[in-house]
Amino acid sequence: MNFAFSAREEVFRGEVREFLGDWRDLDAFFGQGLKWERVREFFRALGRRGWLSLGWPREWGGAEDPLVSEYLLWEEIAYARAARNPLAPGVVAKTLARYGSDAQKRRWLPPIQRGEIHFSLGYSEPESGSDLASVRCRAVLRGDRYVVSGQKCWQSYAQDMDYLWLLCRTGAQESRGRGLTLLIVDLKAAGVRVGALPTLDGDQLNEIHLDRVEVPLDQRVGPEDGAWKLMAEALADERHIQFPPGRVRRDLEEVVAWARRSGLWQDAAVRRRLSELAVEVRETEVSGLRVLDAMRRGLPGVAEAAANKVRHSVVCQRIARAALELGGPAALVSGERVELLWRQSLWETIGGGTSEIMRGVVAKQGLGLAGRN
Amino acid sequence: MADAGIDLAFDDVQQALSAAIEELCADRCRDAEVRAAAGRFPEALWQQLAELGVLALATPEGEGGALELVAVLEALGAAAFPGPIPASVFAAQLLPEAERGALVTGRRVVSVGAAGLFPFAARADLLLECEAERVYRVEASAPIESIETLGGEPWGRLRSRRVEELPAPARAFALHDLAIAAYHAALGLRLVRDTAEHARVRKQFGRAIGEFQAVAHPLADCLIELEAAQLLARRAAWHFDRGPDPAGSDPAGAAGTLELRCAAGAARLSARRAGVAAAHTCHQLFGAIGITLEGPVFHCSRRLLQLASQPPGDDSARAALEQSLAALETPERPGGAALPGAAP
Repeated sequence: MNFAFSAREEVFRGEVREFLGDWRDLDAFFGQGLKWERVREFFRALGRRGWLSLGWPREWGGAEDPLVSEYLLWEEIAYARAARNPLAPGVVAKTLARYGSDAQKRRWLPPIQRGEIHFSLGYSEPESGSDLASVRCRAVLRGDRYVVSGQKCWQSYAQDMDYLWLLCRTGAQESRGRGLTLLIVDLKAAGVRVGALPTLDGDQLNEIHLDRVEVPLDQRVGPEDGAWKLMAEALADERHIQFPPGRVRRDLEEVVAWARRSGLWQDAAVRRRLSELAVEVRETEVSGLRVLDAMRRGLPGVAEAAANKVRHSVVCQRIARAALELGGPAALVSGERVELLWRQSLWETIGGGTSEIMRGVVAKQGLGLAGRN
Repeated sequence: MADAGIDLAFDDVQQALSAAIEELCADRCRDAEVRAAAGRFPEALWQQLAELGVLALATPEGEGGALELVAVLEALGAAAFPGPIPASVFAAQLLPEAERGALVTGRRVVSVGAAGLFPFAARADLLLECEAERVYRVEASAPIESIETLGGEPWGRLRSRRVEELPAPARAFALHDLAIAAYHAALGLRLVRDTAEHARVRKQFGRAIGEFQAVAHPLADCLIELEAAQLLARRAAWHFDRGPDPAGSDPAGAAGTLELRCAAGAARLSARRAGVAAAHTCHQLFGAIGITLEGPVFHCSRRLLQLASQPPGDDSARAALEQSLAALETPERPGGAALPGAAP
């Protein structure tokens, strides 16, 4: 048993920290949409280092590093509050590397690797949140192109992205997950309209209307009606980096620093509460390692990732809520970090799969309790 | 393999140790025996533990360190094995070599008490009393009053007379905390799995009650928290075995010792919260079955509650965690004052 990263991994972590020194003022982990141009620059800088393709196959310019490299990279980036991991080099690129045609790989992988093009995940719809097998947005093949009509909603960052990784229906509605297809849609194509849904952290989600949007056939990924398997596998590409403990560690450090500046730290009850939260931060650390360990062993890691997501998201909410509870009126002041943490952390138990779905996964896979969902 | 990176599995020796304990428990420490052990010291089981070398683990004479101890305690915890195991492990760290032998071979039994309350006081050959982070060898200066406890252990209330103060290194407290944590998490997990089994079989409204999210989700939460606590105990043990200063960058070992203290203290507090919550959840989900004396919960839950308040308490763990937070060097807040989120 070993709880330490290897010397080589620590060297890499050191390189990442040094690199992040130049981006100390970015602070786009929250409110990325408010600073997109700088974030795009940041991603390009990551691309120049080869860090957007650490886990990709060598054949496509990747380093074929074990997952731990990506874990350390995004752990440090989360701690530095720089940005969230982009979808293009993860879900999109890894699915393309696995299931795309050679022509698709040649077209899409190099600019993704350089951090030049970015994708929004087009899964959720007004009537399909957690239940993605019920997606309705329809694509019909006409000659050499699909014609797509429908509505997507709650997409993060879509206002700034270049393409939509679209889950749409090609089979009968009753075919559920068996009648879904993945398409790459240019967000600047005719018939695409992106509208803002302002969120309570000052950023926005989006709704995307697609009205007879034409999508070339060569922008279909995998077979028609074949999206479900691709999506399930893509989940594994991201779950080891999506909820890194660095985020909650930083949350607690900021609340502790704030408590000390404001004098709250003098109160023994405050110190006790914050040290209990420090225990929970440690829980998120080992929950994250558990996902990494499962992936390292070649296991699916589905229950581990769901458990990590619940623990991580609940702890960041507890930290923010404790600060509001302990801080008195000073904690209510807009623009204070603690107030922002309260607003933002509400999203964490929803985005990326709700806690209800995650607990269902843990109950089923970890305890053999199958519900009706 | 010092440089292999993250690997969260027990090695073959640790697994074999754990299997041996599981075998012992399946044979000698089934639920009926655990229930029957209430109210007395488990003499025969205790001798078995000593013969297997369990009480000597993480001492110079032991055939294994803290990780082996944790592997064993997880198996013992899953069986709700009775007796003052964490206290004995703690005392073995404090006593001089000459006395340690009798303790780890089971010839003498120690009681680690606080505030005049001593577990198994009438049976114990040696009394240690904790006060914050200090430990004293004491004698009973008045007759021992026998008392019963929630956990079914025979304790004694007595007036103690201090004989000497023992050196009590932070590592001893750390080992005690991680030992309790390993046992706690394993017993909580066993209880959660037993309850899940019940929820798969028990039918109401025409279906297994485990199909209801009101039943399944609280159990999932227990599982998530207990598994985290279990890993914290293992991580603390790994830290203990590695020593305070593996890299040589911390000559006094102060930072390493504080981190060990925090790692073990966090494990104890985490396992305590998760274990006690699991006990309460499982009582509830078994319904009326869960509150019967012979039911499937109480012989486990009482043990969880008992260990949660076992001396030495968690004050020193909390103090270490606060000290570590106070020492944080938080990076400057990035971006200055221009934070998002100032919406109306």
